[in-house]
Amino acid sequence: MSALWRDPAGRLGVILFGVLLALAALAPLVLPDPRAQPDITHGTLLAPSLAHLLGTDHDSRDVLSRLASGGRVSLSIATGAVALSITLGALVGLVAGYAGGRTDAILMRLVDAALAIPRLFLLLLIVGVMQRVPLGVLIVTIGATGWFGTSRLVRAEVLRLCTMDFVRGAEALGAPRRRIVFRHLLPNVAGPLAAATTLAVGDVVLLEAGLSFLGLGVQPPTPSWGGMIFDAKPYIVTAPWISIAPGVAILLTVLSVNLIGEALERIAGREGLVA
Amino acid sequence: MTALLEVRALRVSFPATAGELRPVDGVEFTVSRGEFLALVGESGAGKSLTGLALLRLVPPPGRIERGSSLRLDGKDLLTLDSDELRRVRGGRIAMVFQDPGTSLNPVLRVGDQIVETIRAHSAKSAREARGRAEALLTEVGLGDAEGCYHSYPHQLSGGMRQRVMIAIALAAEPQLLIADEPTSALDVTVQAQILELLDDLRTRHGMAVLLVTHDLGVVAERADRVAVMYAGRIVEEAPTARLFAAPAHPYTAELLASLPRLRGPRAPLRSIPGAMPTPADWPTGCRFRPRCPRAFSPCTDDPPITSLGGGHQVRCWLAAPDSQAAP
Amino acid sequence: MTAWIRRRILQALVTFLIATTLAFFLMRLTPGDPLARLTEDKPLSPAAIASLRERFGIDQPITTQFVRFLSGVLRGDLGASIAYNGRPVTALIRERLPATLLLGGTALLLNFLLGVGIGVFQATRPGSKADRVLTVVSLASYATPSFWLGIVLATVFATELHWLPVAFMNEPYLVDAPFLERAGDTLRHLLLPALTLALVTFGATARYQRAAMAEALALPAVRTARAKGLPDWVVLWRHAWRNALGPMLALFGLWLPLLVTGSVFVEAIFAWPGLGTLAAEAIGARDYPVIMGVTILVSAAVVLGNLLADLLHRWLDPRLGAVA
Repeated sequence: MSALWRDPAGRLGVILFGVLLALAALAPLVLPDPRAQPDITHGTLLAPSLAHLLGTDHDSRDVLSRLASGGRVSLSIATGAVALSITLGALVGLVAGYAGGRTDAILMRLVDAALAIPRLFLLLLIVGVMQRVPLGVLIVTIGATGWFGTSRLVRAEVLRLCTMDFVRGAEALGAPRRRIVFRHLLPNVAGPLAAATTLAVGDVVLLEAGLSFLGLGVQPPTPSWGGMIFDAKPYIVTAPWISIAPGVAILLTVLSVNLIGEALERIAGREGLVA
Repeated sequence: MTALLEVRALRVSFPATAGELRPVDGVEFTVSRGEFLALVGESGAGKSLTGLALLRLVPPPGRIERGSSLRLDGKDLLTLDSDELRRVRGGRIAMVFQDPGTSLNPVLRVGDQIVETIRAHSAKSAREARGRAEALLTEVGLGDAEGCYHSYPHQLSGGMRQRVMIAIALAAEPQLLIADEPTSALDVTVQAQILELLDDLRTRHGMAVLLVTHDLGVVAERADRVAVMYAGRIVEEAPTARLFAAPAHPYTAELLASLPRLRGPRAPLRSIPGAMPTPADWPTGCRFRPRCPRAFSPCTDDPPITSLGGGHQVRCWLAAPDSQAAP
Repeated sequence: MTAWIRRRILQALVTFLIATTLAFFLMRLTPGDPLARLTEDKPLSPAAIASLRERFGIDQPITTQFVRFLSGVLRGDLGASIAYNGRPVTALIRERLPATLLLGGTALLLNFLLGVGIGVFQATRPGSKADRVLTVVSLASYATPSFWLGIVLATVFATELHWLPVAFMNEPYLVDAPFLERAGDTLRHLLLPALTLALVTFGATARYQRAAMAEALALPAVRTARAKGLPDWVVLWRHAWRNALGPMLALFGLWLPLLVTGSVFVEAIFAWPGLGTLAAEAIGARDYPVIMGVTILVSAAVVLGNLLADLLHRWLDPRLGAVA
């Protein structure tokens, strides 16, 4: 962790992400409730002011607090989905890499084929058919379509580690396979895996925003950044801040997460092995 | 012979966690026109860096320190602007590197790599340049010049590749050829051929050769003069015959003594105890002192350079005129 | 060498087939009624529904459907569109494909120019302020949602400044105009969407290029090129960059999905008559055969792209024994 702070890009990422996180978490305490509609006739499309830092939208809801709520939604979707895909990816990667042979070949063929379909389309095939999915299903679906790349990554790492002496030594000593996987392989895969996790979070935020923009992701009235951009389209000339704010929010979130992820990659590349 | 290249007080430093390291620390020598000078030393003595410094090719973050002086025909190399430097590189001083396998561009044909050098330094047309390239390939001993011209480096053997590198170096007719361990990556039989080639080319073109090597044996036959380098400094410099016959510096003496001999009585191989220090651990005073069999009290200070006449110089207290040295 | 090519092509084919199978079963097994849209507005009699189901072949057991589908794909028949009243999906795709290729191709070119330029520039001054700023810029490019950028650019340059047209591919009144005029008009319409797409994808290119170039600049062969007194730009491009191309080819596998995914949004925003808008419309209309058809096509493109990248890599590096 301290290594992350020392890396200048990583530090920027952590700070940025921390600010965004704080905003999302603390917002409901400080800002007006996004769902309350105090002044329907007079409060719509107000420009940014001290009362409403980012103005109000067409339903006279405070944009900043909607942004914060939307952020909470997006981040919880992202964490849930990524947790699922990283776990699946790591499992499959470990199994394929360590078991080798037929299992490996079959698994990797499937992974290659799945990777041939761009993730958005995979999601369209599922979510597009189901239409208006509940949040939980959305998270699981996104998570279930995101593990392929991770499994490739983990498998490559495992293959590399298996040629090293400490693994061979453990096998020679008769260690059971489960022990080798969890005690020896997994800790050493943790580094690149952590980097992949943070990058995956950014990808999911973008993906979810896109889906919401298409009307397939988070359903109204739950706020989401993608949905906010879609809603703001008709008013873009008269009230540009409603469109700009969520876009910038997405940008900064994914940027901060990617800065962290890249820094983690650099750190993982430098450190030695855990035997 | 007139001086072609004068090197004075050359220092190359690299930043390190605890201050700066100076792998080349006050190197001085002169190369005369058409002369064959060998720069000899162990790995890590700083000789390769010295060679690179002459062309200002020291890899960053290393740099040549202020106060160093490099003069080619009287012209200061360190103050050249980029255009002039470009003309010097290849055109006045050329370099042949150690491993021809990695030093040649793998994606370009051999002929193209020679031609681009020719055209960078002269106004020849494409056809003229090609003709000259093929002539060069023949001159360096590659029988099938046209075949080689169209080949990629990986299609040639190690010895052939090194010949190609020499051909490239000759392309713009330099006055000085620096050869950095040109034979270390090659078979022993090929080594002799390459060295003979270098010598031939030298006489034919009136070109000076600076051979950087760790192999004293290689030096004996061909070099006019030898400079011995130890821990960033030149410790002895002399005409070859003189150096071999009467080495003045204990390090040189030990080096010569440790060469295995075919004739003479059988005896265990001699070696010098210990190892050459790295730039981070250089001792104060004479750097050879910890390993020197003849070290004595003045050696804790930097030894002066003494001239022993006949072009023989040595950096050692034993040769200094007014020191109390045991004979 | 040719044995390797054959094996690689076979491998690509197998991957494509598995992907197609995966897509088919994924869609079919997802809960949801393919005919829902049609029955949404006006309730149909059971007989009408039954005949519709028969028409679109949904009444058969799933294995039969799959076999029919797969043989159709191999024949080039991707089924019939539900929303477009039975028009063959292949025809719809063929109509829209050129527009997408034009957009994608232009975006790729812009992406390449930007990405390579920035990446090489960064590699020549590593650690400098410009380098660090550009790294953040590259990451920001990747982090920008394409649909948002499209909206912003369209609003600024088209709606507000009136410099460029807002949507579509041509102005309809130019239908009979001479070719040059029409071409120029198309170009004007092309600029914003292509720029949008390029701006959100160049970041990845720049990062890759920077890394590949940094490695290449450290090669002994580049040191030799400098020692030969060659001009800086020759050393940079002819020697260093040529050796950096290999690792860059891996980008093909990255570009294609990025470009394809981005097109869906960008085309929708700019009403560019391509596959992206087709897909977006199909989503809204729940036209599953069309969605499926586009997915299959896109997957084929990705597989093909990777194959080409591998073949190119072989060809570019004479050391691997290719037909140089």
